[in-house]
Amino acid sequence: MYPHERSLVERLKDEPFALIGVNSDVDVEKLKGALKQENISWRSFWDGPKGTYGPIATSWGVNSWPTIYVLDETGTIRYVSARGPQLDEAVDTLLAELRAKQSGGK
Amino acid sequence: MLSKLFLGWVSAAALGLGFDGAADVARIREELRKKQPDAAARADDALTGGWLETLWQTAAQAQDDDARFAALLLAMQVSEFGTTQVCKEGRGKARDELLARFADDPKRMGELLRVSSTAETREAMLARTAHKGVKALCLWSEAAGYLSTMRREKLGEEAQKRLDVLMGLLRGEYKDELDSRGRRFGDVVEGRLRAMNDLAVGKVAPDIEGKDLDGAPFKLSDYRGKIVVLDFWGHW
Repeated sequence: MYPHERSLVERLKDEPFALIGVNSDVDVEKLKGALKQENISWRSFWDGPKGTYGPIATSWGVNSWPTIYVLDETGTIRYVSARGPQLDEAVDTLLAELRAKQSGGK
Repeated sequence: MLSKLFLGWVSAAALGLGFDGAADVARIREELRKKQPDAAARADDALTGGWLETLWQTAAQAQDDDARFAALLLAMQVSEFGTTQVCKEGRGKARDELLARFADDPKRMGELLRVSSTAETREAMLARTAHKGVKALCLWSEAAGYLSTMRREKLGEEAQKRLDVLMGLLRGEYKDELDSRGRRFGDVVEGRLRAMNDLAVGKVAPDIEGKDLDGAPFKLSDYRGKIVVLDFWGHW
């Protein structure tokens, strides 16, 4: 999964785009080694010491990892569980929509 | 030592980790079954029968409950594979022995449900257990089946009714029982209902306020104006 996330972040670094994580690791200090090794540069909420049953994951009904939501610029949920090429397609569609809206508004 | 190895193997298999071999075996079996169904059935019987024989012996000679449970669970898993008589009998025997010994042990029954989430297993478990937590696990296992169907298609009227009943029980009478991750079923079900109602496509995502991995506070809504991929992840 990381290589795909990295390439997404890299490809869209100049676009109005953000990859935000919600991390369910129990030990955040241990995780920091992995961040460096895997070159994980995106920002994540840490869901606390309860790991996979942390408050954010529980209130979002997350039962399997990774779970992915794609939100548009208004914070509206537009895609749930998009993976692989579908995820790229989803993000590209929303970026195109956003560009069309912005140029239409001018 | 043996028991530890067994346990590790079973839980790895249950989690689907380090278990690539199973996918290959399944594929080869499937091919054989298409081309030579009789031969495939005989191979299943031979393979399963051999494994089961070893596992019954292991269970009988086990020195503690961990080893006995692991051997019987593995027997369950091995025989879940097939549709032949050997498999059916193996499955029945493993289930009976597991329930006879461990029906009131929620941790072990949770593992059994992960290996075998069939109605047959659930009903047998419900009939044997006196433990409320185990009953809750059975209810959740049934509900989870409907919830996963719902991702692909709309539920029929009967199924939807049954799911409503199950969710009602789990957020009511059984709300303080714990799921296999140690979460209260009340919280799990509320989260799921919220996910279905409030976290659907077209709804505005509820804000998240928290701290990043360095301890700095931030909010999901800080990123309004951007397209956001929200990724629930873990490094494991």
